[in-house]
Amino acid sequence: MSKRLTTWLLIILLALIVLTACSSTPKQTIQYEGDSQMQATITVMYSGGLNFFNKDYGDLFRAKYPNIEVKVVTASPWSNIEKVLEEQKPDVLLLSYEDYVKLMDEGKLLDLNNVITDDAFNLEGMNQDIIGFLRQSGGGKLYGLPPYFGNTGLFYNKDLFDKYNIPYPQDGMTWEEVFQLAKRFPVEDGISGFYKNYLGALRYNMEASQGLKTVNPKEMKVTINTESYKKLFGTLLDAYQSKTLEVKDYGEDVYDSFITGKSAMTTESYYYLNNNIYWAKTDRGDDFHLNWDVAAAPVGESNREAAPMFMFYSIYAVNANTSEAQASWELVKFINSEEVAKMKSRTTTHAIPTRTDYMYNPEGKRMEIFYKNINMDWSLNYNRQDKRIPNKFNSAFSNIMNSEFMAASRGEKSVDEALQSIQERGQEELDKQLAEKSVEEGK
Amino acid sequence: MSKQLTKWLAVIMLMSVFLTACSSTKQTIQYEGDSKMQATITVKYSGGEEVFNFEYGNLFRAKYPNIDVKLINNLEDEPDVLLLGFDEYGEFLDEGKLYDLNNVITDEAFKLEGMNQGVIDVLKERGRGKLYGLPPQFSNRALFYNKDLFDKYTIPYPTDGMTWEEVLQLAKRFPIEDGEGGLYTPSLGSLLSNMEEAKDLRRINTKDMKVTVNTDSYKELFETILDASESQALNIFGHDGFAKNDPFITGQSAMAFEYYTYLNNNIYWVKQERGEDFNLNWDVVTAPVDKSNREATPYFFIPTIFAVNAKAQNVQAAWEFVKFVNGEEFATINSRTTTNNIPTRTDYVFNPEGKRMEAFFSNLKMNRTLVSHSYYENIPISFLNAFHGIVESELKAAAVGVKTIDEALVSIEERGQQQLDKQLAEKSVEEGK
Repeated sequence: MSKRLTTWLLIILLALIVLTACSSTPKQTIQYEGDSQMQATITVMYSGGLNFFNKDYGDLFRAKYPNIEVKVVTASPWSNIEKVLEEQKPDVLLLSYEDYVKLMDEGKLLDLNNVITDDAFNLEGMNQDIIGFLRQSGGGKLYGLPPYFGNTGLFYNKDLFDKYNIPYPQDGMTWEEVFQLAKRFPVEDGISGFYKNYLGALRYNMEASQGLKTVNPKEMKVTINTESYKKLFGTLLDAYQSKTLEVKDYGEDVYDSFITGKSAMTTESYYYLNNNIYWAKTDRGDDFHLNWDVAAAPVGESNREAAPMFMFYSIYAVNANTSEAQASWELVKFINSEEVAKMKSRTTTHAIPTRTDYMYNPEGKRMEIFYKNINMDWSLNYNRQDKRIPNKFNSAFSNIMNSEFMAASRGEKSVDEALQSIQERGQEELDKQLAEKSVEEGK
Repeated sequence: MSKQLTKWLAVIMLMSVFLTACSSTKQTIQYEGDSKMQATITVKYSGGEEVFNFEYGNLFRAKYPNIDVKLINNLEDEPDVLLLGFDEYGEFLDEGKLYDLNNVITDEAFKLEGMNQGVIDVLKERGRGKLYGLPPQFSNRALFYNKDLFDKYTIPYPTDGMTWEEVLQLAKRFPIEDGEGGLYTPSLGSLLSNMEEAKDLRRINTKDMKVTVNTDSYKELFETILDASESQALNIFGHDGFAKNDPFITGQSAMAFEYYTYLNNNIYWVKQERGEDFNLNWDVVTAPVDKSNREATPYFFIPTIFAVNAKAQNVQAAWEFVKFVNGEEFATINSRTTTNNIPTRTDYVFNPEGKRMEAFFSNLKMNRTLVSHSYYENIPISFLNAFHGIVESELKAAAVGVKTIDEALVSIEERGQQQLDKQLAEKSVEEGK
């Protein structure tokens, strides 16, 4: 070749090399397993602060990665994530499902697909409904992992059912069927078939089971005046008036009517195990004889195979802007690992491990109901408060419903009159709250 | 004069003497009567004879040996000396039921200026410039802190006029590893109550008996408390109210928010018990406030005002009693040991170690607690306890992440309202009986 051509080729070659080197965007490539002795400092969002974090994960993590310093930013998955990202710039993020989707869409989360699917991680050990759904939300890719999730179960007292020769509740029962079962318990013996600490929670469970919304957020209309709701209200009223349903708030006292064996059933979240059942067992030891088990939370007639109360809690992800991608991934991996799940399986937890094989179940109860039939689209669509509706409205409306319910229960008005009242008062309240909200936002 | 006229004059004279004597509803009293006077006075007091004698009776009898003091419980029996709460004091003076003590109270010998101006101003304001009674003591709270712990970690001491948020920030700076922590509180619920009072947040609208916690102000408050709890700024030590070994006393917590009685019941009590072994290096700053008003004294309170019944049988003796318990002599005697509440004659505060006691009584201002104590009258007492339990359980759920704060607020309001409605219904059934 001519000298000129060679020179040009060399220049081009050099340029290419330089460009390739320089154009390495912050897309650091991470390996599944980095060097456990690696030095790094990372910040993690955690709702419990440093001390809770250390007890939960930090101490164990440090044992494995002695040179990774972990700092904690106290923030919950419910914090204003934009603010946290801007002000604290954490490497490892703790996100609600909504924030996970939002940040993922905005390209603010590190792509973890290559490493998550590594065989060594044993992704199949995590509940596939949940993982599948997350992947679906990410257009086929995973940007984070949830070590826990939430769900509700129907707790029942086997001894009470045996005593009165009533068949145990089954998975896939509707609320009507549950109350029919509850009715068979003799009120005159001081036993209530069903217990709930407050009416609002019970009503909410019943609405969720049928996908009934009391407010249409698109049109901002209260939607109580339907046949379905009338039926729900009627069922509840009948159970309450016949004393089949006991509603009593024990505050923070763990020994409620179900725990003390006065009520045959209750619906509660998985949290009830840690907070009440196992707590009481630890407190009273051998004196605690509750012979309990669980069935799937009651459903709607149209869809008996659903998990209406499924909830995402926190999803761990890595900030796309991190300068410590490998170390951040190590923490996310660690928190979601089999190793940690196994360690935590020795005691009860507040929520259900996504690695469901490691659910704490020393007495061999029907814990599988907590992760059965997780129909994601449906429950995510239903659950959690719709942010378009002012939060103040939610409690105001619930109180309107309670007061009308009580009036009906005392015979002061008919079901129709009560529902009409709820509809009117509810709409008035909603309109008022929306007006106030727009005044506030106008400022 | 004729015999008949003389007779009539005598009758008229006798009658007018008689009438004058009987119609003296407005007996004029002197500042100082004869300390040997013989009289019987009744005092409305519900604390029992033993406590009364210990607090007032024995000392009073030493000075006035011939005044017999009887304790009664019923207002209908028109006691001579009334012990009134601030609201009652206001009502009674409005209705003319209290004897006007202004002439005698202002006597030079009484040294009214030796009584705390803030307290006197509050009473004068209520009485439209006039005084109808006096409190020998009043109540307030302050922030106690452990100087040694602050020094140990090189953290600056708290200052007067700090907000609750600033106090919590300060508390966060203390490490937990060594078992030492920032702020001691018996429960999250009590911290919530304390902060509510400073911010004048009411959890119930008593007009329509509605629980009102699902508001922006409450949300912010719950977030602050939750944050403090999660970052372990708090050292929570629940007890029945009688424990003498709370984390502040044991030197594990750097701060505690307490009533003046904490001195009597805890600090000096333990000091007496343990003597040399008790080395708590404590001091006080003014009670934390809300950022909207750093000058406020939200916890200042007047529990008992001594007054003379307008219908008293023996006004002079009754006044002697009121004068005595509010006098310098009484304050001097009491200054030798700790007292339950702060002496209104604040110069006589028991303070052997020269601590910043003025934190309890400087710049006292009329505040909402004084003005609207009747807020609590219509709320069933059992509701407040139940509500604390509800708040604790919901905050806990939010803390472990199974609920958002918004969800917790909705639940707190729902559960609170359900509980309030239930207790109001029970209360009216009870009262209907």
